[in-house]
Amino acid sequence: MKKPNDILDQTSLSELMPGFDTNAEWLKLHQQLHPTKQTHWWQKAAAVAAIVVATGGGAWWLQHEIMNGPQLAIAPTTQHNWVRDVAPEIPTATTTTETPRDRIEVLKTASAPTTRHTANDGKHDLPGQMKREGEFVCNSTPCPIEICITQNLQCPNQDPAAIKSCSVVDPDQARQLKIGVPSRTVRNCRMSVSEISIERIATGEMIVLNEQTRPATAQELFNCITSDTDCSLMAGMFTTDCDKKKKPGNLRIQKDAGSLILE
Amino acid sequence: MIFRFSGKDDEATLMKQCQQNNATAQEKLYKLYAEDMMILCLRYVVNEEDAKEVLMDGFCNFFRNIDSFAWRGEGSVKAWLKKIVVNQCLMFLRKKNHLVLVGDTMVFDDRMADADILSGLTAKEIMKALHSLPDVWRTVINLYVFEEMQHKEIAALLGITENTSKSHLHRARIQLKKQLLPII
Repeated sequence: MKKPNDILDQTSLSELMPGFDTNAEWLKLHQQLHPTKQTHWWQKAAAVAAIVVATGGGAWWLQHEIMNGPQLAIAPTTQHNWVRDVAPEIPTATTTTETPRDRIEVLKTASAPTTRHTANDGKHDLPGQMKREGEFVCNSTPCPIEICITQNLQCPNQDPAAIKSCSVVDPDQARQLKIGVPSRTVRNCRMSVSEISIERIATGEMIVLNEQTRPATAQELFNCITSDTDCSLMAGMFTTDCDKKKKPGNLRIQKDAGSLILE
Repeated sequence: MIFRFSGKDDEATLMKQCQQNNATAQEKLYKLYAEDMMILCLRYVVNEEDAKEVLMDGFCNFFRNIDSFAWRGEGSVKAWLKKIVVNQCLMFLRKKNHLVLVGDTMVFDDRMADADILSGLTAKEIMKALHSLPDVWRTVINLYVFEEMQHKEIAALLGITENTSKSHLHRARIQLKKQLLPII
C-alpha cells in the first residue's frame, strides 16, 4: 500500500486545486522580489507641468503655422511638406518636451506633394490623431538602452511613410516610450511596425527585430508594449555587458500589472 | 540582465544564479517547486487563498535568505525550501490563532498509531480527511506523518511537551479512522 507521502508526491496540483495558475503566481512573486520604482508626487507634478508646457507650446506653434501658412507653402522641400501635412504635432513635441536623446523622425515620405494643407483644413484625418502615445518603460538592465520603433504608415492617396521614434532609458529609470503613431490604426490609414531596435548604448550592440525575427517579431514586441494585458517575451541576446566584457545575456521585455520592464 | 540557460540546468547552477538575484533562475526554480509546495501548504492551511498567500511568503523568504543556503547535493534545495514553507505555514496558523496549543495528557496506546490510516487513499481523500481535522491535530499529524518528524522535534517546534504531541496525533488518528471507516 502506498504511503500518504508518496501519494501526494505523485499527485498533480491541478487535481487538488484546478484554479492555481503558476505563471500568475510567479508574476506576483516577481513583483515582490523586484518591485518597480514608485513615482513620487513631485515626479508626477513635473510630468503634468511638462504636458501643460508641451500642449501650450503645440497650440502656439499651430496658431503660428496657420497664420504664416502661405509663406511656408511657397518654400517647400518635399520632406518638410510631408511632415507638415501628415504629422504637424511631431516637430512640436520634439522641440518642447523631449530631451535631445529622444527623437521622432520621418524616414520616408510622399514623393511629390503638390499642395500644402494646414492642420485644420479637414482634408486629412491624420494630423489631429497623430499624437504621440507612450508606455512607461523601466530599464532593469545595468546599462542605458535606446529603443527605436519604426512604423510604416499607409494612408489613402499618400505614398507610404516610415516614422522612427527613439527613446533612451537609463538603468533603473522609468521613461515614457516614444511611439510616433498610435498603436491602433488611424482613421483611413494603415499602420504597421516594421522594425524595433534596442541598442546598448555603451557598447553599440544592437538587437534588431523585424517581421521575421525570432524569438519575437517587431510587431509582437510592439503589441506587448502597447496592449493592456500582461506579457513577457525575449527580445534577443546581448553578447557583451556594459563594460564591453563578454557576458552573454538575454534581454526580456515583461509587462506585469501595467509596468513594462526591460530585464 | 538575464542569462541564457541550457536545457540541463542543475539545482546547483540555478541556486548560484538565484543568489545573484537572477530573475530567470528564480522563475525556473519557482516553477520547479511551486506545485509541490502548494500541495504542502494545502495540507496545513485549508483555505486556498490563505494557502497561496503562505506559498508566496514562503518563496519570498526562500529567495531573500538564499545567500545563507549551502549546497549539500541534489535534493537539498527542495528540503530547505520545504522547511521554510512548513515554517511559514506554522507562522500563519499561529498568527491567525489557529494553533492554540494547550497541554493534553490523554492516555494513548501507541499501537493504535501503527496502522497508518491515510495509506491507500487518493490524494483528494487525504486532503479532505486532513481538512476535516482541527488545525492543531492536523498540524501535528502533518509534521509526524508527512514531515516524518519525531515527537521530540514536534514538541520543540510547537512549544509543547512530547506527550501533548503524541496525544494530538492519537486524537487525530481516532477521528480520521472514524471518518474514513467507510472508505478503508
